[in-house]
Amino acid sequence: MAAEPNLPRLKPASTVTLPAVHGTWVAENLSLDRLADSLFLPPETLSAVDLKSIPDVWAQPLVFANALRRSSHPMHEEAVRDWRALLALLGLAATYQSRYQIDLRPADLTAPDESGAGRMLKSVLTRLPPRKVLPQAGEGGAGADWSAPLLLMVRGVESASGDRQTFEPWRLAGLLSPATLVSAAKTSASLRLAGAPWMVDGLSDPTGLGVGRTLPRSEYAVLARFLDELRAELQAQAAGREDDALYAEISGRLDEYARDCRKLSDGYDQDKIEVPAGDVAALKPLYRRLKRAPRVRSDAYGDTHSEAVIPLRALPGESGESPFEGVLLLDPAIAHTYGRHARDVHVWRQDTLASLEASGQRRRIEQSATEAGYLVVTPDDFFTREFIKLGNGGVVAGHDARHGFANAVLPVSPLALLVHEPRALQEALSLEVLGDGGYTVSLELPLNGAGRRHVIRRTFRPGAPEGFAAEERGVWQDYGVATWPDIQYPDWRWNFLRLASNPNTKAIRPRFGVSAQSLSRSLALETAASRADKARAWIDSGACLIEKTPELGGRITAPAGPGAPTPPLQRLRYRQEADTVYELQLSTSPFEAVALARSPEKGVEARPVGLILLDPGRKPNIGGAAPTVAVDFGTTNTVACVEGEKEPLQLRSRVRAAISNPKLVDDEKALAKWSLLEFFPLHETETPMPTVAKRRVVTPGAEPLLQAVMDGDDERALFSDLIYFQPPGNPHVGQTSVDIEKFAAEKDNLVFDLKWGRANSEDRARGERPTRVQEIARRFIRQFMMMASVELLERGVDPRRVSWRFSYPEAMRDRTRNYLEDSIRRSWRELFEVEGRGPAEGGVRDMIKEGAAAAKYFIGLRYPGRLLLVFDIGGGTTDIAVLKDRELVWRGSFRLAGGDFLTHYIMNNPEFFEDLKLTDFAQLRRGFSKQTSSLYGDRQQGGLLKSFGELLFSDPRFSRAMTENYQAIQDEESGEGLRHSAWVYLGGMAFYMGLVVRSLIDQGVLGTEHVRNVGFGLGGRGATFFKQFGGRGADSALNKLLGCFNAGGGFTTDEAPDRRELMSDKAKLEVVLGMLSDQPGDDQLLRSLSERLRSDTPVGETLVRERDGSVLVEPRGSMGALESVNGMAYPDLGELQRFLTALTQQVRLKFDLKPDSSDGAFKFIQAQVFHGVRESVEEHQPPAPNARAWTTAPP
Amino acid sequence: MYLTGWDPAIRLGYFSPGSKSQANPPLLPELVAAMSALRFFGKESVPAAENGTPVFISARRNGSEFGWDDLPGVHDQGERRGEHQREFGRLLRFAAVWRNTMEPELRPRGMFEAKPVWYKRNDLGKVKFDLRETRDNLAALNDVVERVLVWAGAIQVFAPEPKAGFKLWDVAPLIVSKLQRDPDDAGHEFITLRPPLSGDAGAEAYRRLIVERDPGPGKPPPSNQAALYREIENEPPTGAHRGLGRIVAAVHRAARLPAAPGTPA
Repeated sequence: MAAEPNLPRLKPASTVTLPAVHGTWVAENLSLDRLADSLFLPPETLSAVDLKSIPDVWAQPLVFANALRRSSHPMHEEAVRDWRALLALLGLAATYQSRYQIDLRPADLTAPDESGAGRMLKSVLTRLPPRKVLPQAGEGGAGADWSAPLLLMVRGVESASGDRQTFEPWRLAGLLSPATLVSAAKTSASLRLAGAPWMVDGLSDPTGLGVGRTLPRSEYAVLARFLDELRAELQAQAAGREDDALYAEISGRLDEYARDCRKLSDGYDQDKIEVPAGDVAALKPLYRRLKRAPRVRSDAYGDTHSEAVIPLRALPGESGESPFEGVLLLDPAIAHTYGRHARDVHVWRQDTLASLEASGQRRRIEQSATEAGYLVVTPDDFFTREFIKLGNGGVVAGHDARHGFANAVLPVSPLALLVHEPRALQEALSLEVLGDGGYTVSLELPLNGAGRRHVIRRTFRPGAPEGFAAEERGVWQDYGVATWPDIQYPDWRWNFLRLASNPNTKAIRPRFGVSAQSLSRSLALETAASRADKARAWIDSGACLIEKTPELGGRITAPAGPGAPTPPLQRLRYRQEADTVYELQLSTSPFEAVALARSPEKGVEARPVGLILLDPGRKPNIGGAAPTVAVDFGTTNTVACVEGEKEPLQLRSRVRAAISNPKLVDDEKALAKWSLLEFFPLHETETPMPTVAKRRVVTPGAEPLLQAVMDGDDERALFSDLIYFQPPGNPHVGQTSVDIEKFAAEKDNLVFDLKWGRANSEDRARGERPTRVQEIARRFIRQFMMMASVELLERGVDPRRVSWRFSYPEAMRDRTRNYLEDSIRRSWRELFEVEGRGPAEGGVRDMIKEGAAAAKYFIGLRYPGRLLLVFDIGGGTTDIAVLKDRELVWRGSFRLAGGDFLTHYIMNNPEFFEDLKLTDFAQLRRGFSKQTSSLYGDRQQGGLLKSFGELLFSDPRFSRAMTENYQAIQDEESGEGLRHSAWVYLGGMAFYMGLVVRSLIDQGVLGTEHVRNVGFGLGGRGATFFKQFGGRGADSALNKLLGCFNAGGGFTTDEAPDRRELMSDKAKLEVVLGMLSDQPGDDQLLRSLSERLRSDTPVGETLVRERDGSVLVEPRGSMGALESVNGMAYPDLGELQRFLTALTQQVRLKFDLKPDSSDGAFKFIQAQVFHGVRESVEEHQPPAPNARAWTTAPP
Repeated sequence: MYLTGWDPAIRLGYFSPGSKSQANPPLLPELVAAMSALRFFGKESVPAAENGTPVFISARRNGSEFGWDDLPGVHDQGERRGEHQREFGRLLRFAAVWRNTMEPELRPRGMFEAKPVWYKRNDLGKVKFDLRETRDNLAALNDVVERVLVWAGAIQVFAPEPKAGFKLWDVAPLIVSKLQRDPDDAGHEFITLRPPLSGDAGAEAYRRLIVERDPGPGKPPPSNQAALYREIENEPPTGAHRGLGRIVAAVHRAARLPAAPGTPA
C-alpha cells in the first residue's frame, strides 16, 4: 500500500511527487506555484475566513496580491472588495475625520522585542521577503519594498464634544503593500468601524453598498479623485516600464474602481474637491498619495449654503423685515425628501445632515447659522406636545373642515405661522387617525423654496406624555375667543382679541393672539442670537410663552413709553371672576391665530397645546377714491356719513368668534351679547348712535398699571373706557328682564354728556386739565373713527387717505371747542400716523359749525323764499342759522333741545313706556331713580336721567313702538303730555326767532320784505320727533306753532303771511350731509359760514337795573351787550307772557304760572332766567390766559 | 518550508471564525504541523538548498491508521528517533497518574494517621501544604495536567476517520466527550475530564493509555499503577529536588516508557 501524504487533497493530475516513506519529513523539489496548481479546490468559493492557517509568514499579502490580480482566484472577489474598502479607508480619511483616524506605522523587522520573542519570526520575515513589487522610479532603497512594512492602523472616534474627541483603541486594518498598495491583514476580516458605512459589517466595496447605505455623491467624487491621483502616481513611478504586468493590473483596477466611483458621484463638481498637502515626507513616493486624502473644499459652499432652509413666508403689507433669513431645519429625514444620502444633503455650508449626529457639530452648525441670521430648529419645534380635539360641539370657525381639524386645535407652535400663512398652514397640515385612539399630524414645509415639500410628523396618543391626544368636552362659550375687526388688511393696526377662560381647570385656555407680523415684531431685536433666543421661547413646547415673558406676564402690559415702539401685543386682564378670567389683547398686526395652553395638572405651569386659526375675514380691494367722512359728534348721538353715500354710516358687527358652539341656545347667545359689552358690539349699529361711553371696571388688583386703567389714565384703545353699545333687546323672546339686570349693573359705569366734558369736583381739584369726561370723549372719538375706518376699509378705501370733517356747535366755548378739535386730530394721529411712513394723504380737514352745516343742507333744498331759518335740533343743543338769500346773517346755539322737552318728559313719566307697551323700559326707568352714579355723582340727576333716556330711545324697539303705538296713545294722558311739551318747545323757538329777525330788521341786516316768505328748516334728531307731533300743512299744529314767530317779532299777517316748514328727507343727517354737500356757490357760503359773525343773541326779556329802574336791555337787545349784570332785577317775564298768550291762541294751550304763589312756576322761572343770564354773561368773559395750556397748537 | 495538510478534511460539525477568538479543538494535522516546527526550530541551521527553498512533506502509512510510526519526528534516525513517542507517552502517563492517584493522595496527614511509605520516603511530611506558594504550585501543575489530558482527548475525539485508526494514545477512560448544543448552532463536542479514577478503573486506564514500545535495555518502567507505587516507594529521586518537587520528579520518572531498542539504559 502506498504511503498516504499528509497533504490536502490533490488533483488527480497533480505533479507533486509524493513521499514513498512514512513518518518522516522528505524534501521535495516542489515550487509553491506547482503545489497551488496541484491542489484540488472544491467548486464552491472558498471564504478567506475558512482558511485556518496560512503557512508563509508573508502569505497574507501574497495571497491577497494573487487573489486581487487573478480573476480566476477563488478569493478574487473578496480581495477586490477588501482592497477597495482599504483604499476608501485611506481616501476618505479627511472626509471622515470626525468618524475615524488612520495612522501608518512602520513594523520594525530588525529589532527584536525586548523579551526576544518573535525573533525567529522577524528573522524569517526579513530573510524571506516576497520579491514582487510595483515598478518604481529610483534605485536601491528609494522605492517601497517588503523590507519595511507599514501597518495601516485605524481607530474610531468614540465621542466628540467640542474640539475634544475620544477614541476607540487603535486596530490593525491592513498594511501597505508594494505590490498592491494596500493589503488586507488577517485581522481585517474582523474589523468593524461603525463610523464608516463601508466598514460597518466588515470590509465592503463602497461602490457596492446596499440600497439606503450608499455614500453621498461628494464622497464618491472624493474617492474617485483619490484613485485618480494614485493612478497618476503609479504611472509616474512606472515611467518606462508600463509593460510591467503588475503595474498594468493594479493600474487597471484603480481605473476601474475610479470609474465606478465617478458614476456614483453623479456629476459632482470636481472643482469643489481639493487635495491637501499632508505630511508625507517620510513615506516612499509610491505610498505618498495614500496619505493625501482629498476632501471637499471648506469654501466649496457659500456662507449660507443650505439645503435645509425653510423660507419664511413673506410678511403681508408693510410689516417690516423678517426676523430671520429663514428657518434652518435640522432633520435627518430631509435626506429622504431629497432622495439622497444624509451626507449628501448640505444642512449648513459644507456640513451635511450626517453631521447632526455629533452633538459638537450640531452646536457648531447652530451657532454659525444663528449668527448668519437663521433660526435653527428641529421638527419638534413645530409641534406641541398635545393634540386636543374639541368635544361637545366646539367648532373652530377659522378651520376648514376639509383638513380634519374643524374641531381640533392645531398642534403646532407659532413658528408654523412664520412659514405658512394661515390658509396655507391648513393646507400643509394633515391628520391621520390611528386605530388606537391616536393621531398622526403631518406638516408640510417648503424646502429651500424649490417647490419641494418636506413632511414632518408627530404622533399623539392618549396617555403619552410626549404626544398626548385628548378630547376635551368643555363648554365652548360663544365668543370666548373673539376678535375684532373681521377685515383682512395687513396694514390695519388696530386688532383686538377678547379671551375668556377658566383658569381653575385642566381645560385648554386661550392665552394670546399671534400672527407672523406680531411674532416678527416681537423678534425685532438687535442681535441674531437674541432674536433666536426669543424665538425659542415662542416655540418652546414645554411652557407657554406668555407665562414667562416679563413684558407680557401678569394682568396688564405696560404701555410703551414716549417714543418707544408699540409692543406687538398688549394685554389687559380686566376681569377675574370665580371661574372665568377675561382678557383684552391688542395688536398692531391682525391676529392670525390664538395660542392655547393647558395645565397638565392643577397648579402646574401651563404648556402650549397649539393654535386655532382665526377666520381671516374679508379682504378688501383697496384702491377706491378716498372720500370725506363727516361726523357729527352730538351731545346725545353721534352720526357719520361718507361722502357720496345717501345713508348714514352703519357700523357692522365685526366681532368673530374663533370657537363657536352650534348647540348654544338663544339664552346663552343673549348672554354673550352682554358679555361683549366690554369689547365690540355683536349687532349692527346704525348711526346716529348714542354718544355714551362705558368705563371699564377692572377687577381691582395691586398693580399700579391696573390702577391707571381704573382711573381712566390708560390711553390704550379700549383699556380704560370704550364706546357703549347697548345690546338690542329681543322683542320676540321674553328675556328683557335679563337685559334689565345686566343694564342695571352696567349703567353706573356709563358716561354720558361726553361732548361738553363738564368738570366735576374731582376734575376741578385737578386744576387746569381736560376733564375726565373730556378724556373719555377723546377716546370715544378715537374708537368711533377706528370703527368707521373699518367700514371704509370694506369699501376699498385706505383709511389713511380719508379726510374727516367734524362739526361743533356754535354754543361751544373756545376752550371746549379747541379741546374737541385737539382730541379729534390727536385721535387721527394715533390711529393713522405710523412712524417711518410718509405723511398720510388724509387727515382731519375741517371743523364746521353745526348750524352752518345744517344751513348748507337746507339751502340745498332750494326754498323759493328769501329768508330761511334753520333749526338743528339735537338732543342737547339747538343750533339756529338765519340765511338771507343764501347768505348767513345770523346764527346761534342753545343748550336747549329735544332732550329737554321730549326725553325729559318721557323719563319723568314712565307710564308713557307702559302705554307704548315697553314695560321693560318703564321698569328700567323706575329702577334708575334708585341709582346714582358713583364717579359722576355730582352731576345733576336730571341730566343723567336725560342721557339715560337717550340711550333707551336709541333702541330700535323704541322707534318701532313709537311708529306702531303712538297714534293710539296720543290722546291718552301720557301721549298728550308729550305732545304739549313738544309744542312748547317748537312754539318757543319760533317766538324767539321772531325776536331775532325783528332785531335783524332793526339793525338793517334784513328788510321787511324778507319776512314775507319764511322757510323753517327743521333738522336734527330732535326734529324727527317734532314732526310726529306737528303734522303737515297750513292747518297743522306745526304751522300754527310756527305762527308764534309772528308774535315774537311782532309781525302782522300782512307783513309775514307765509311760513313754510322744511323737513329734511334725511332726518338727523342734515349736519353731516351739509358738511359733505358741494353745491355751486358753496365756497362763498362756506366762507361766510366760517367767519365769526356778530351773532347778537336777543335776551328775550326786558332786564332792568334794580337801583335806578333804568332798562338794562330790551327783549330784542343783544346778550353780547351785557357786560355786567350788577344790580339786575328779576325780569318781569313780560315776553314769556306774550309767548304763552300766543301759544294759547295758536294751539289752545293754556298755562297757569301761578305768579302770586311763592313756589309757583312764575317765581321759579324768574329765578332761572336771572341766573341763566348771569351765568351766560360770566361765561362770555374772556378765558384765563393759561386756559389753553394743555392744547397743542391748532393746525 | 514544510507543507502539511489532510485529506479528507476533518469535519468538526461547527464553525468558528478565524483570529484570536477562534476556538477550534486541536487536530491531528496540527500535531503533524507542530512536529515540523519542532524540527525546524530544533535545527541549528537551515541547509542551503540547491534549487531554492526545499519543501518538506510527510506521509502516513495508509489512510486508515495513524500510529507513532506515522508521526514525522524531529530526528529521522539514531537514538533520538522515536524520542517524541517516549516524551508524549511519559507526559500522558504522568498526567494520568498525577490526576488519578497522586494529587488526591497529596494532603496533609495528621499525627495519628498512618502515612504510606512512599509518602515518607519522598519527604512529603515536610511539605507545608498550607503555604500559599505550595497551593499555587499545585494548582498550576494540576492545570497543566488537565490541559494535557483534554488536548490529547480532543485529538483523539476529532481524529480523522476512521476513528479506530487513531493509534497514538487512548485517553477515552479519562475524558467525557459531550455534544454541546447551542441555541443557534449545530452544537459541538465539548471535552471534559472524568473525576479521578482509582482502583481497577485507574489501573485499566493507565494500561490503555499508550501503546508500549518494544523494551530496550535498562530497567523496564512500571507498567501499571501498583508497580509505579512500588517504584516511588523504593526509589526516591536523587538530585536537587526539594519539597513537592521530589514526588513530582519521582512520578515523572516512574511514568517513563521503555527506552528504544539499542539505546543504552
